[in-house]
Amino acid sequence: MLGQSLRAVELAEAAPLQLAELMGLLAKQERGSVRFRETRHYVRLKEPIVVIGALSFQKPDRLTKIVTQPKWERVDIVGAEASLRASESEPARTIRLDDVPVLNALIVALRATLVGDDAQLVRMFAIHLTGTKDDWRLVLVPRTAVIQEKVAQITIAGRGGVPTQFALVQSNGDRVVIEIEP
Amino acid sequence: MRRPATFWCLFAIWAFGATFLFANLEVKTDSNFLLPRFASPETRLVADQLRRGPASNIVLIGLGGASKDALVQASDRLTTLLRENPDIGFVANGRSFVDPAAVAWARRYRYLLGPPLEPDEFGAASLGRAFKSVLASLGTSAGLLGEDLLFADPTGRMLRILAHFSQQDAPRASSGIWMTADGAMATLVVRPRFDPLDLDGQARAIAAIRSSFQTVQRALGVESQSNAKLTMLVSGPGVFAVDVRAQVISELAWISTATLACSVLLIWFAFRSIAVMALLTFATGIGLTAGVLAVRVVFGEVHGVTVTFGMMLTGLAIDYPIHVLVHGGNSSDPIRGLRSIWSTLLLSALTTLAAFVPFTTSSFPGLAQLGVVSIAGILATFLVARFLLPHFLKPAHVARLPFGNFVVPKLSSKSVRAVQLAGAGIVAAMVAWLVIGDGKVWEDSLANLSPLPREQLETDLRLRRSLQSTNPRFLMVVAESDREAVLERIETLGRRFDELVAQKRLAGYDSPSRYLPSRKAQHERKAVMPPDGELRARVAAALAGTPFREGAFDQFVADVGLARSGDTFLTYEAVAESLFGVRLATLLFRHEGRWAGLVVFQGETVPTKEIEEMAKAVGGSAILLDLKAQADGLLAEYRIEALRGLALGALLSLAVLAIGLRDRHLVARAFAPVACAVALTSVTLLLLGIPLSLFHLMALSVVTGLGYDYALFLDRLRPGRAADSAIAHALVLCATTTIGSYAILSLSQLPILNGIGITVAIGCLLVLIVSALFWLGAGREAPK
Repeated sequence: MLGQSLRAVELAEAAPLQLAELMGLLAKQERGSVRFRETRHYVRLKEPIVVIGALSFQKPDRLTKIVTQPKWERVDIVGAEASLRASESEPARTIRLDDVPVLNALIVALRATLVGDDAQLVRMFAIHLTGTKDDWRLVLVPRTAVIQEKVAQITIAGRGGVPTQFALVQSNGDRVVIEIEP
Repeated sequence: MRRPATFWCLFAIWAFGATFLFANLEVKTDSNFLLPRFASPETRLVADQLRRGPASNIVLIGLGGASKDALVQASDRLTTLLRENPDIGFVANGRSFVDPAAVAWARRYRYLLGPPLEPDEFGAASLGRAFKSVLASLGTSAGLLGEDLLFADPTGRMLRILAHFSQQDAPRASSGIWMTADGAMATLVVRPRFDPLDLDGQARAIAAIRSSFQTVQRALGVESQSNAKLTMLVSGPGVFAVDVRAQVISELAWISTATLACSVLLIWFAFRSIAVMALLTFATGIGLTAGVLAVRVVFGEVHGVTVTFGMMLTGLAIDYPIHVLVHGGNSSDPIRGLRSIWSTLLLSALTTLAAFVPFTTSSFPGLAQLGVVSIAGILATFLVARFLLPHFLKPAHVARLPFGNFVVPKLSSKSVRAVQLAGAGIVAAMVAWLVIGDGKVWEDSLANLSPLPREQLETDLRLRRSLQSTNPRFLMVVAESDREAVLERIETLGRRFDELVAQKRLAGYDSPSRYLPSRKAQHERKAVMPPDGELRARVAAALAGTPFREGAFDQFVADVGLARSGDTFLTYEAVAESLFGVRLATLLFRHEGRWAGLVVFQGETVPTKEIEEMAKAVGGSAILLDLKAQADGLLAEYRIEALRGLALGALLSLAVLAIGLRDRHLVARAFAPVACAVALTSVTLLLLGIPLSLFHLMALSVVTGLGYDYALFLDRLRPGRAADSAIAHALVLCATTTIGSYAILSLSQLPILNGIGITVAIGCLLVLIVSALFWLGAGREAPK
């Protein structure tokens, strides 16, 4: 509560953040590796499932997610392909993002935010940006019906050029929140 | 010309009738006419199903000539373009393409299809295990967007269905797309949205593929200069059929034109008379019309190749009117002048007709039509020449005989002997060369009887290998009176085959049961599914103590309930509308009032003995076929048939000769040069590197028939007599038109026409030379 009112004061003072400006901030990041904590709230489950691991990103389009808990898993996304490995000994299974439109929308949202590619974001989502340079919040709503069927909205929050939280609200009510550990 | 009014009246009637016939004639251009056909009905059924059945409706594409990256790009772009094309039904280039409709279909029928349900598939213990695995999956990528399916299908039935339908021998993918083993070519499979027999539709789809390729080529060429060399090969039954049709039509046009032009020029040079031209056109025209009409009546259809052959044949049939014109027209009283040659003319026509008889009984579809068009054409031309033409000839109608002294060489007996010795020497040398050399004598490849160029067949095989779509070697045919009986029989057999697969003694097999279980099997599956209330209770019990909320698996309960309901059955029609419709229609189809099912075995070897024993144990009519052995056997059958045909033709014409001449010495004098010439023709073909096929051997029969023709007329020649100039003139003219026509035919690219053309052209030339040598050797020396 206190934080909120403080932020409101700051907001009143700071000029509202523009999308182009935010994208400029984000684009400065070359590469990075962070630990994350993903909480999955399934409607059909009484309690959420927590997934822990590391996310790394390298410009322009390489995104890697390594899950350590509850079960080891590795996803490599390069260009328009995602390869998935369910265990270290198994060979990777490769899929094309184009074949799975919903997954593609999610990856585009993540990757375009990480590189600051506003053109790609605007093409796929209706964008609503609030907050300031130091505490912003980007709400993305899919434009196409196929994706809307599954994804209600994606929210990305961050400080300056660093995103701190991704949240996905699915159309069936399930929610996934990924928090980036500082 | 005598009685010109009558003649032109008849001419007009013929012209009108012929115009009517040809205007209403639907000339066939299908390639089956030109392809070998199996004798056994089961093999023919299978071969036809593979060649013309629903699964044959594919175009194979190979992209090459560029770097691997460029090929991957080109393959993807071409796929995208073709998917948007309304003429194309289906495109695949190796990328996984998830068709939502196909997934929905598989999901709906997942409990009725595929591997059998375990007896406790829906038991409390297996539900408990299933729910535990769902919980584990919710913490992985699968739980992120695919959780709806996890909840609807906790036992993982869909995964088993997908594994069931995934090709056991999937084509090799490299960089995500299909490529040939050497990486030089990217391969694609396209299914036109047209019936395989609709050649116009097939041509349209092929044109669409070519134009899409050009678009891709341009786009990639703009991006990089080196990509501009991108090339495309297309193949497949539709492509072949369209190519063969184009070839049949183009050959019909140019062979007809060339034959006609040569004959007209030659006749004009020989006679310089419009009246003679009209008479010859009338006689041969009636022959052609009668030939085509006879084929239409006997076979109910006429192929383009038959018309081409009929056109060419006018060059042979013209012999009879030429003899009549020369002998009758040269005489002061045509009717009387002709009397002396009637018996010879009749005999020569009959020997030629006899030579074509073996064609009509050939098991090769095309040869029978060629036989009928020849016999009817020659007979009609002969009858017109014999009974009509003399009445239109004026005395001394034909005065010029430019070839009159052509074949009467002025040789001394010494030089005759020398020429004969030289001839014998040449023959001996040829035979020796043949015996020493290791050239093959008999055609040993069925592909060489097919109208398609070898190069194209090799391309096809290369593309098929890379797409794992080569034709199977072993198949089993199961025929029953109804569909369910076929399916049940194959299900019973399938359980035995599965044991062989488990023992690794059989690589695998495909059967209609994979796509459509019998009603009986579907009922058995429904019996495993618990009623709605019971399943609900079992699910609730399994959920106790888990983090799942009540009702989490409601969709699962509903899906099982739907599958169990008495209204839900997987039907032939439901499969026909799915992605597997083409496959099922290939493996299960109606044939002559019965239903036939095919089991297709993978691999080049299968335990044939055991499979046959299994089939016997199960009962019914299940027949195992080895297509490779059948194809090899077909070549041997053709060889026997051709030799038998040649023998039959030779015997028939010899019999005609014997009955006609009634003189042993005369028969021997006609027979000897012909036999020599036939042997010499075979040797010449072999020396030219042409192994003898059905077509060549059948054509040798024609050589014997024509040989007697020449030998008979040559035998009448007595140098120095006035009438001999006429005989010589006619003989040279006849031989030239015949040899010329067959020589033109030998330029055809279709093996059936080319084989007959080259054999008869060479054979006629040789028979003429050999006959002349025999004639000279018989002591009839040139006048001093």
